[in-house]
Formats: sequence, C-alpha cells, structure tokens
Amino acid sequence: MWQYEKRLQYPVKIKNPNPKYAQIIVSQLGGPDGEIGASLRYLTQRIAMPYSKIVGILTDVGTEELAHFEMISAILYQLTRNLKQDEIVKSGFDTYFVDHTTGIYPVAASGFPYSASQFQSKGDVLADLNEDLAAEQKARVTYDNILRLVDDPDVCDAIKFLRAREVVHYQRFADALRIAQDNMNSKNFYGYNPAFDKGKK
Amino acid sequence: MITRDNQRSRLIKEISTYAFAVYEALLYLDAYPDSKEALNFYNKYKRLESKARAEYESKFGPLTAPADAQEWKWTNGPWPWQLDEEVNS
Repeated sequence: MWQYEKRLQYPVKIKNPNPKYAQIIVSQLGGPDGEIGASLRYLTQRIAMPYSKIVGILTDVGTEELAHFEMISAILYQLTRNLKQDEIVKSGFDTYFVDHTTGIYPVAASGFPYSASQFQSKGDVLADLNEDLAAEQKARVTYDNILRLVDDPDVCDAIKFLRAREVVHYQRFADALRIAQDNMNSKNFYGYNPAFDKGKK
Repeated sequence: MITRDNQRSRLIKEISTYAFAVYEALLYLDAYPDSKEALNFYNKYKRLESKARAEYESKFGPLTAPADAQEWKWTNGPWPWQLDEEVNS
C-alpha cells in the first residue's frame, strides 16, 4: 500500500519558462532511462527477490523514483508556463504540443512514448541487480547530457539533485549485489537462481 | 490456538479494514469537503486505524519507514505478497 505526501522531494522553482528545455528534459519522464521506467523496474523486480534486505532497497528506491517522476513533472510544468504561439513553433515544442498541449505525458525527447520494453524484470537475482546498476548509470549520463544542454541555474539545481540521487542509488545497488553474492555459492554464482530455485536447495 | 502468524494476519486485517474505510471517506471528501458526516466518519476510522497500527507496529515492526528506530527492522520479512512460510533472510 502507498501513501502520497504533498511535497516535492527537492524544491523546483523555475523563473523563466523555456519549452525547448522541456522537450529535452521530458526524456527523464518517459524516455529509455527515465524515472517512470526506473520505478516500474524496481517495484516489479522486488516481488521475486528472495533476500529481504534487497526487497527493502528495491521498494525504497522504487518509491523514491516516483518522487523523481513528480519532480520532473514539476520542472516540465514550470518550463511550459505562459507560452505564446510563436514560441511554441520556434522552440520545436510544437510536435509535443499538438498531441498533449502542456499536459504531462511520458515520452522520450525523440517523441517515442514510454514503453515497458525499456526495462526488464528477469526473475534472476544477478541479472536484475546488474540491470539496476546499469540503469542508474544510464540515468546519470542522461542528467549529465541535460546539464550540457541547459543553461539556467534554476533548472540545473534540480537536475543536479536528481543526478546525485542516481549515484547514490548505484551505490545502494552495489551493496545489494554484495548482499546477494554473500548469500550465494561463491564457487558458482550461476549454478542456481535463488529467486526461482529456492525450493530445490 | 493464537499463533504469532495468525495474530499478525488478524491485525493486518483489522488495519486494512479501518484503512479502507478511511480511504473511501478520503475519496468522498475530495469531492464533498463540506460534508460533516463524512468528516466524522473519516475521523472515527482514522483513530481506529491509528490504534490498530500502533498495536501491530509494537508487536511486529514498522509498516512504514519508522519515526524513531532503535534498531533497523524495516527490511525484515515477510513482505505483503509473501506467504507466512516463506520468510527470507
């Protein structure tokens, strides 16, 4: 069961709207390394995870990703305030605008809508945790790329916070991988998948 | 005989019953914030929920990230989708 808290994890206060930036940053909402995919990845993977501590990590990181989804939504909302018609066309935001106006919809910057084919839940402890480590790095790179393209301190401040969280999550997943391996046969990690073979041992 | 497992499920059922009533009232109040009747209903079941929650947490550990933790029990199983017999390390 979940409960909603009426606050952002980190404040978003953007003075100057900029639809071009919105079109780039929307990728962290619904792109291949975006926050909704991250959340679904961890919240699905945790169910088959046989180690309770790792279930806890996946639950708590997956929940935090939903808060990041909300932060990205707040950034997009503030970047697309009070748009004039010519700004929409000139900035290139028109291709998003025609389908969604200034509503929040999970797509990649390329316009490709969010798809669950962008993540895996393999039901294998090592495969899933290695995917999670890679996912955090890929999201970190996306934030680094956003920071290369965006030149507005209000936007960069929130983006830097989100980037730092990717690094922390990566470290927690490294802990999770160590916990899993401590519970597994060090002579052959691959002979046995504790998420599936648990009844057999 | 009252085992630990069925005491746990009894309390979870009690919390879930009250919490469901609270959530129903919450959804209703979103649309009808001036309803005194709904407010009283909400408060009544919220109190019962809190009481049941406190009893559960004192016996079986935290339901949400704990406010005051002497010892970290948050990641202890079972998780809600697990059956009683499959408590993991």
